[in-house]
Amino acid sequence: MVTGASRGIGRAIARKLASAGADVAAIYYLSHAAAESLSAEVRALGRRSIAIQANVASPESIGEAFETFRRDFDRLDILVSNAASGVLRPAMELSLKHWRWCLETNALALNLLAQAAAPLLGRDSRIIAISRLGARRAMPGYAFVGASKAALEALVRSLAQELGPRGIRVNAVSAGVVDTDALQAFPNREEILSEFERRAPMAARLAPEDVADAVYLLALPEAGMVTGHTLVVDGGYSVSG
Amino acid sequence: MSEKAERMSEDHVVTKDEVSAVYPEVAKAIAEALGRDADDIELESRLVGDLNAESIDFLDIVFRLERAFRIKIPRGEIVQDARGDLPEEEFAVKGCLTEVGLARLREYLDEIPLENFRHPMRVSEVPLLFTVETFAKLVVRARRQGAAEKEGQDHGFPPR
Repeated sequence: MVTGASRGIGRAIARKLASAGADVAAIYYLSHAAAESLSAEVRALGRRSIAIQANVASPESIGEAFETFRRDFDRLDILVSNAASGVLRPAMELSLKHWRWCLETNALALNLLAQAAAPLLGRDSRIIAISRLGARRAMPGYAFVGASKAALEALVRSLAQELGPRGIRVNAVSAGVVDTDALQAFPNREEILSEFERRAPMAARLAPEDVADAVYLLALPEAGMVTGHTLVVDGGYSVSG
Repeated sequence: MSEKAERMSEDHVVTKDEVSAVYPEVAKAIAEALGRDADDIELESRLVGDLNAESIDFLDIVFRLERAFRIKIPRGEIVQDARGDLPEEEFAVKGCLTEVGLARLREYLDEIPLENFRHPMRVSEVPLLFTVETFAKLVVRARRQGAAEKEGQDHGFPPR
C-alpha cells in the first residue's frame, strides 16, 4: 500500500515495488485519473492493483480505505506513508488551521495508517514513511511542513520500538529536493533545483526514482535488522558544508 | 472564431431546481470543511471573501463533495469546463483571461454578479469568485457526467 501514489515520488515508489513483484493498493486523494492510470500500469506488469480514494488525515477515511483494501487483499507486507501536503508561508503568517493541516496530513497519517494496518501486518512486514530534509533544516516558507516531517521521523522511531517485537520494521526515507509537480508550488522552483544541484556533492538533480530506490532498499529482507532509521537520499547535500 | 466557440454548450446549463436538490449536502460539506455552523453558509456566500476559505480548504471541500455524492471532480474542472472547446490560447494569454475567455467565464459562472469579475483577470484569481452555488453547480455537472459515463459503460461505450 502506497499513499499519495498517483503522482511524483509515490507513483515512482508504487512502480518500483510493482516491478519488484508487489501487488499495489494505490491510495490517492483527488487525482482519480492519475491513480487509475498507475493501477493500469501495475496490472500491465502482471500484478494486482486497485486505486482507493482517501484522506489520510481522517481516521474515518482511513477506515473506509482499509475496508475497501480488505475486499481485494488479505494481508499487507509493505506500507508506504508518502502522501503529504502543506502550506508554504513564513512561520509568522501561519495559523492553527495550517498547523493542523500539515501535522495531520504529514505526521498523524502515519499513525492512523499503522493502527489500521496492524491486523494485516505479519512478521517481516515493513512500514516506510517519506520525510524531507526540512525535518532537520530550516528552509524559507517550510516551517510547518518541516515541523510535521520532524514529528513524522520521531513517530517512526516510536513505532519501530512498539512494533519491533512483532517483527515489523519501521523506517523513513528523507529526500532532498526532488523534481516533482509538488515543487511547482514554490515560486522559486528553478532556483531551488539549481542551488541543490550546485551544493550536493553528487551534483545531480534528484528524481522520484532515486527516492523509490531507497524505499526498495529498506523493503529488502537484507535490511531485516534496520528499523527506526531515517535514510537520507540527497546526493550528499546535507553533509556538505 | 466559430459561433460554437463563442457559446457554451447547453449541457452546462444548471437549473435552480437542480441546485436546490444538492444544496443542503453541499452546504454541509462546506461548513464541515471550514469548521463553521451550517447557518453561516448561504447559497450566495463567497468561499474566499465571505467564508475565509483558503486553497487547502478547496481541496478538503472537493474531497468531501466527491465522497458525499460519489462523484469525480477533476483538478481545475471549473476553468477547464468554462473554457470548453475554446482553444487554450484564445481563453487565456500568459495566465490572464482574454476578452473571450472572460466572457466564457461570466457565462459559465452566471451565479456570480458581473461586478465581481475583474478586468484584466488572472486565471489564478478565478477561485476568488466561487460561491457556494458554484460548488452546487459543480456537483450537478459531475453527477450528470458520472451518469453519462455509466450509461456509456452499460451500453458498451468507453467513458468520455
